[in-house]
Amino acid sequence: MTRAELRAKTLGFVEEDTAQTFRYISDTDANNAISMALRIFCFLTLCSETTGTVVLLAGEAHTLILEDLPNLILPLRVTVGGTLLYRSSLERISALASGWRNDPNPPERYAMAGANAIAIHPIQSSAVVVTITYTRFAPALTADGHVPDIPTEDHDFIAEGAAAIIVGTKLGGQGDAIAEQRLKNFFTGIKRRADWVRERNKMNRFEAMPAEVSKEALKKLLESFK
Amino acid sequence: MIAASVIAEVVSMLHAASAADLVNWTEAELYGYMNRQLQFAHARANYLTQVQTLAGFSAATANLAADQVSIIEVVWNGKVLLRRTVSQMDSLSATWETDMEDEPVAAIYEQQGSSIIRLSPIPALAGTLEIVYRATAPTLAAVNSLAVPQCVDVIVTLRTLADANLKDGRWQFEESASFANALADIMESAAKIYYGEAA
Repeated sequence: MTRAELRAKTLGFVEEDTAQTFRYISDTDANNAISMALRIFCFLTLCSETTGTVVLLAGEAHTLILEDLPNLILPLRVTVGGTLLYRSSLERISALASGWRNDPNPPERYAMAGANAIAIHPIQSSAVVVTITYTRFAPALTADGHVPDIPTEDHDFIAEGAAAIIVGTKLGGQGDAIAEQRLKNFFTGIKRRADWVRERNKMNRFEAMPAEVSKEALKKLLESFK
Repeated sequence: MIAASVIAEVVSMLHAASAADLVNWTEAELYGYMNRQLQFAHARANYLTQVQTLAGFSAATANLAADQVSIIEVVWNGKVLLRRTVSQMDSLSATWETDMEDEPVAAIYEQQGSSIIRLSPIPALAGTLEIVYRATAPTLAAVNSLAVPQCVDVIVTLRTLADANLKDGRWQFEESASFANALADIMESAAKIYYGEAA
């Protein structure tokens, strides 16, 4: 679905009459809600992926990554010169070799430091190009003709999520059983896609898995509509 | 994250076409809520890792950067120092606070609260001290942006909306705040799993 189609569906779900002069829910509101629902969907399912590169300079222990890959959520697969690196952590790398920052050797493993930096161990004596296959937030929908970069069968869930977000944030959803059902459908779609991504990632030996949404957290969210 | 975009989205959720149309809030209040929630978010999950570099260093203690939430590791001339507590150092040596050698072996984080670390032994030769730490976010004004994952945009937008609605806290304001906070909680739980906790 294009953004225009998603918006029409979302506004239909919240029963907004777009022919009226006075609009309670504007097109901008709907576009913002669609954008938020899309980001939530991508973050909780890790379903959108792509490949990019960053450069680690000679002697550099870690490099910032979000400037080059601004949509990045998590790396799935990291290679240097075709060599696959194993995922580790800064603590484990330092426990293996406390002087690793001074000891150049062929690359073996990588570690994410928070969300914004990547370290390669051992350190490199010359600049290297690090190729990262990573999950990402789908590109923003900035025009009505844009289509979300997620599986087509999940587009309906985005409209349902956007409708629930509009009701929850703008109107306060207490007692709105229809909006509550839309929210349940949205999270059902998230769970279904996340389960699929987990199986696919296991088969591909990708190291990042979607986080589970706990039943307690979802129950607390749905209770805000009761 | 673009500060002005977050505020524009919150303004729209508060039923205003622009900040000038807001009835119960000022734009400055919204920026206050946003910056507070941005810093709370960084105190919970590790979105930003920074390195504080002190070249030519040779003192017993180092002041930590003002934006540090917690330390990941301390490095001396490229070598990671052991992390020790005061009680561990007391059990190893009665004179650890004044012992001096060419290079330190350990970093003690907790002796003087969370803003200073101590090196032991005290380095007799100057070297490069690097402190890799989890950082909080700076205060953002309308013209500012921050390189963080887009989940932070979503979390901070929802929590800013919740704070704004809780200023009144009645009826639909309270409902909207509950929804926004509950949805932000779900995103934040996932962020902690993906990026680690901050403290």
